[in-house]
Amino acid sequence: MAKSTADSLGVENGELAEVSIDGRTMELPVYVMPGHAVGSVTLPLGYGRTEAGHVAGCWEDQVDPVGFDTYQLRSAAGFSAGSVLATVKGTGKAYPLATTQDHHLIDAVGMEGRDNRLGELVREGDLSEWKEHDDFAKHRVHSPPLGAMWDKHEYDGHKWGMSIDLSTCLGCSTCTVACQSENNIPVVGKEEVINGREMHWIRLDRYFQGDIDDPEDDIQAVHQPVACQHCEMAPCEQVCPVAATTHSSEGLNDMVYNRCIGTRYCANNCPYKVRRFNFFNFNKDLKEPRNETLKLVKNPDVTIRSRGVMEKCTFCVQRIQDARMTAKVEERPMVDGDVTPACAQACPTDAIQFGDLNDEKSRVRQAHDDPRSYSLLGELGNYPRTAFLARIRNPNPVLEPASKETKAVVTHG
Amino acid sequence: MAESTGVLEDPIRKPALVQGDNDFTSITNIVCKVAETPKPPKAWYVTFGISLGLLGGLGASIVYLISTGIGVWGNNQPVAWGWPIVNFVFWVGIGHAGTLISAVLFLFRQTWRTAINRFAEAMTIFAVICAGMFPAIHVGRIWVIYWVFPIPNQMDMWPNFRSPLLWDVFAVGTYFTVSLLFWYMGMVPDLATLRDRATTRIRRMMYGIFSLGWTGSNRHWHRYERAYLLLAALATPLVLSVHSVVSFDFAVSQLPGWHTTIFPPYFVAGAIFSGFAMVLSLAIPARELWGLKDLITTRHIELMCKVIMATSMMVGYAYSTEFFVAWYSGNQYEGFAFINRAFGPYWWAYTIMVSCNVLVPQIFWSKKMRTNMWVVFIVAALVNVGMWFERFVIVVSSLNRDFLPSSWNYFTPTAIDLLTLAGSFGLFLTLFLLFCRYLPQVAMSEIKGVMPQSHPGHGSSEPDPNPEPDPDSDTPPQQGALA
Amino acid sequence: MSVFEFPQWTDKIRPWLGVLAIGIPVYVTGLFLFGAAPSTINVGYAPNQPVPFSHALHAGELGMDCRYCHTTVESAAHAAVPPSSVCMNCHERIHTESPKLLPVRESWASGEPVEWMRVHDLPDFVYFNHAAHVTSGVSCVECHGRIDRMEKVRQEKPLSMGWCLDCHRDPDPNLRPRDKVTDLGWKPAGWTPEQDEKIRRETGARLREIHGIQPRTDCSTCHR
Repeated sequence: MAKSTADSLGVENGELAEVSIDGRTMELPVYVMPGHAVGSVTLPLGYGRTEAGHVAGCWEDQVDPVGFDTYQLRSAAGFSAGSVLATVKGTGKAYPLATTQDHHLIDAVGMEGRDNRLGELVREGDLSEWKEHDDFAKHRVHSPPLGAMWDKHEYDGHKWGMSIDLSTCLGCSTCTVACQSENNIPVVGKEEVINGREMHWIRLDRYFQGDIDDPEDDIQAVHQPVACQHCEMAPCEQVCPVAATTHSSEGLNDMVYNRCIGTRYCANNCPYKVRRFNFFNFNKDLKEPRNETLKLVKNPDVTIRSRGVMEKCTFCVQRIQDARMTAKVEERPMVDGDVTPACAQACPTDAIQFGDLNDEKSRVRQAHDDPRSYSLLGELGNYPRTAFLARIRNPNPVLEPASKETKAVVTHG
Repeated sequence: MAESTGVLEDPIRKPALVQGDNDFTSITNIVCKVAETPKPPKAWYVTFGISLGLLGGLGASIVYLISTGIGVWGNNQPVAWGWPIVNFVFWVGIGHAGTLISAVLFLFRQTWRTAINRFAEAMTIFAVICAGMFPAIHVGRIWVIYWVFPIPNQMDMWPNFRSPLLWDVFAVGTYFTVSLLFWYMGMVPDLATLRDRATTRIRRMMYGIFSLGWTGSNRHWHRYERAYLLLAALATPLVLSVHSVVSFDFAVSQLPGWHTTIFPPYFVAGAIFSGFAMVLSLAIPARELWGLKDLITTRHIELMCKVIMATSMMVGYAYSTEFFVAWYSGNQYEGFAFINRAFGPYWWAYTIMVSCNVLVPQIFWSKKMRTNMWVVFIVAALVNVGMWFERFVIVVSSLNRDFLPSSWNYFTPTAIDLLTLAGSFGLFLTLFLLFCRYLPQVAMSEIKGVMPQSHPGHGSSEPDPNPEPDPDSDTPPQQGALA
Repeated sequence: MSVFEFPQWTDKIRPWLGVLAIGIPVYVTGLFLFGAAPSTINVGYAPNQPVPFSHALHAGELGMDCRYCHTTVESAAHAAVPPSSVCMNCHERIHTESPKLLPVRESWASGEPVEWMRVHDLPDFVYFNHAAHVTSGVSCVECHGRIDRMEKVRQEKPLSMGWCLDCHRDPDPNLRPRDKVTDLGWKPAGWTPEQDEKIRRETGARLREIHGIQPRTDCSTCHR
């Protein structure tokens, strides 16, 4: 429900509220979603697992059911609950909701800091601006000329890179799921997500623009997939005392799990906060006899990490190696399209492109050369390898007024 | 600077460094009595019992940590360094007073150091032991921590010499080694005194072995003074280097709130500040408990209070400079980091830090307060609290909100975090109480050097370049002894 | 009570104490380095196999090509261990009653594979690719030694990271024409025992130029 709706009902995010429709009542947790239609409540169907084994509900082993089955509120009378009047009443009981976004409600100081930088992180413009200056995104941030502390790397062979088009990205999180299954990324569970220890190598950053307390305001969501940027001058590489993360001759920021001793300094020094630490042995239950089949879920080409090591996006280096070997056995050079990381493969809108930046015809190189392309936090001098392509909004003026935030950013001069 | 506090006073009106009607023999008696009494005061047993309990808690928490994973602490993303690093920097800072007193004040001929140097050096060593433990246990895989040492191996791998963490390993390692040598070497003549007074066989053997055959001959004294001077010269740069290198762990990184050039001097000043506060926190109860008031006089306490006040203002200056630079840089991330520090979710930690470190020590402008032991003790304790929070503010409030707001997260410590911190105090106090019980707490031979009796003919308290041999350990060299 | 003095004999051990103070750490480090090194603990590993298969007989005396059994070595990361049916290609007719071959016949009949003991075992975080090496002209012998002379297979090389890197940094002495990869006793043209290293290096350098072989030393080459 919207923030203003929650306020008027007197309920808070993460509070159990009593929802009644036609005399049927359920206690459901409140999740405040800015931009939600004011005065209405959405109840997602299809959850509330009671007998899904060890992950959600198992009577023999005393595993509690998870989630809420909102079918119980529906009747034959209305297949669409949209028209049904519901009463919502706060109970005061807390129900911890685990989300990978908004780990805690941001206070006023934080909101101000967030709003100030948002236009620089996720760069957007509308159609007219793009027609006027197609490279507007590059001018959102101006910084002094960037230097480099060390000699820059040179690449004779391949130079792998990625591009993410924010115009075509839907924010559907398919990349996150694809990455998770390709790279044997552990599922850490609700408690550890609440503790801020999720392991996703690629995540969808989601921000809201507008005043969430104002029911009249037209709230916009912006989103941005962020994975390791494989920086040219990677801050993580310099600070590892044992050289467990190093730069490869093809521009990858290699992470060597078996060398990592887990000082976590790299994670501190990463401006994108894409590094993930194995706070526990999340693969411990693989050894249990009942999980024999679970072993088959794991990708044999990717090391299963134990506790105490850092991990992060590798640009699916196992796929790069595999493509290289195939090309070698077939005695041909690698061509554009030979390597597709899991996220790019799964992306329904082809927003993620991957390939060789040294190959002038490659799709990723063309994306990097696009006037809309910009580097996330490029002014820090890390020379990130991933180019973001600014989002161009072209709203139908009848349906949607252009966002206030966007306009404010346009007039930066 | 610290050394100026003594010089500023009118030398004519300086009170004597040793109070009361004491001569060489009575000094020896006062100090040795502590180690020789069959039963220490009850308070010793009580504190020792508590310390041992905490030490046990530390052991248990470490076993649990290593067998389960770093997740038993509150660390998360983005706060990948939590309390263990806070504790590490805190303890390293505490360890600074020792070298400062023993080396720098020695080279500057600050004779008042003699009453407290042994104390401070011992405290330094125990604090560095506590500090050194934290980086070791905070890594994810302690069983391969030897990879940080440059040992040739089958992998053909060297550590990364660009990493400040590696510099840290060497800096803290060197500091510990030199401090230990300094402490032990300075103690040799006093150990010989204890050996000569010992009444049981086991004490004679133990003190005998550790006093390395000291006879008090002129030749021994000559070499001892030489070596002491050399070690002092060697240790002096370490006072600046250790905490500078520790500050590089932060300053070299890119994080707003860490990435700043002011860190090395700011850390060193803070370290001396906290180190002196810890010396006071330990010296005040000890002089009460063991009757050392003639040796650790009110003047000593007062001088230390002045050092605390001076360094407190340096630290306060650093706090304001940080804010100014963050604003002046025009960098919005840098600016936000400091606004967030003072007004964000960790405003309470910042408030504790500023009040304990900058406001509270201002009470020492009043001589009355400087000479009231209760006030001094409480202020010293508060300074220690404040300095712990300074490190908490630096580590946690910088990490919890950096560049991308999507990654912002709050850090909450766990019970294990608390137990580990309390346990480190247990380890520190256990070692310290053992030191108080069995080793000479005050440098007898040095304090005799600053007494008027050691300079017949003039009443100055300047040390004699060749002090007379200690009469108590002045046994003639015998055949076969290490001459 | 008399003052404790070091007895006279301690004068004699004094220099030795200094030697020990330096010597013990050095000795312990050395012991650890060499004692735990793969060249110490892994080389020479030769477990008993369920069937006393002799590579010396099959690959050496009979001259069978390695690829007859290890079929995937040129195209896959893993060099396949042959199924029992490959053994039975011949042993259906030769030594059909041999008791040594009983496990093979049983396996063939039941379909359960023979449980061979793995000799050359890399850690799970190391991804070695046979095809990459064989197609570059790195012979089996470089890592496995003279298998064609072994009655029982033993580990000849340390297979340590440093040992791998030696070749990745300087591959020339270990390269040969691709069609000679399984010829374990191959010698380059004009080979003399005295100039073994020199001639192999020259041949390898030439081949490296021709095939554009650039062994990589990035971490992700083997670890991922």
